[in-house]
Amino acid sequence: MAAGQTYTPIATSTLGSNTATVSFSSFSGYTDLILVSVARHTGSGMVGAYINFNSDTGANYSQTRLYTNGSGSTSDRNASASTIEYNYIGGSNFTPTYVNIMNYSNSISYKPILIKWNSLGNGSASYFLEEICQWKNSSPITTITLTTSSNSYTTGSTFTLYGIKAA
Amino acid sequence: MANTYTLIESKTSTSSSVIFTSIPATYTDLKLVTSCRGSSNTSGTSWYTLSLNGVNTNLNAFILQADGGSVTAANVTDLLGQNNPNSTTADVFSSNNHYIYNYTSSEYKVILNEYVNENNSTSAYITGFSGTVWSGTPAAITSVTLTTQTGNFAANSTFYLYGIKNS
Repeated sequence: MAAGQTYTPIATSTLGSNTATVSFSSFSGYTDLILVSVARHTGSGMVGAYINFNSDTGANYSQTRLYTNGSGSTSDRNASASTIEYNYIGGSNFTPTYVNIMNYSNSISYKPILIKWNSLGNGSASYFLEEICQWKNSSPITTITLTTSSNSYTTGSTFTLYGIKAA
Repeated sequence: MANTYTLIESKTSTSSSVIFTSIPATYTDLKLVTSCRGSSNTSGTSWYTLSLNGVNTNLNAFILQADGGSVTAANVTDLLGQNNPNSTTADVFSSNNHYIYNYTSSEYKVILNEYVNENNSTSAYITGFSGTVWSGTPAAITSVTLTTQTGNFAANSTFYLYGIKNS
């Protein structure tokens, strides 16, 4: 059995004020990363929540999604996205997301990302979704940036980055 | 460094329910991992249901699942995980993974679920995932109850509750 801790909280950001952009850096030394967010935005209705790596906003991301609103299943794909939509967050309820970024520090392969989330409307679930994404770049991921399509993340939103170590 | 991924309690059961009580409020998230099988000869698939703090109301889940031929979606209430009935191949247990976000908050609670229900056959297996929302009294979760739809849990069914801490 490995002696060291293998599931380590690297950083947690609990917003003390409304914030448009949340960033993580300085997370070397792990095999995989897990980002857990529970977030809400400052407006009303639902807005997209986005994730980018290494400040890359070019058309270098792909995402394939499978989701449901409870009455049917839908799949879509964007092969040349400029960002990854990692959730569709509400203005009323805090919405959770689980993001698994695998083998993020290698300099050989594109980076795969698995994402699972519920979006919450006003008092009930709106969508449940899983998606497989890719950052089409072989560089190690050194920064993670979270934004929204409009408004800001509201006070009390939390974002935790965990590091998973294979050994 | 403090351990941040901690086994809170493990249980086995041969009755119709499993109850985790007195869950400490010292973690950020909870993770429940189950390997279980039912004692009844129900045809098709079978579930176990969820109660939080002793109640099973105000639960709503969107399900996406596949059987190798088609993807189906559903909107259910308290169905949480798969529980392979006794009529399926002997010794095959259902595997379930439940991630409970922010369980001490005063907000709606969200649970991310993944499950697989195998059978040594060309049919009657299933894999799926779902998101459960508890929109009831926004209290901290202090107990989790899993109950079979019919019959009891079979011998050697196991239930592990972990706490995950973000600092």
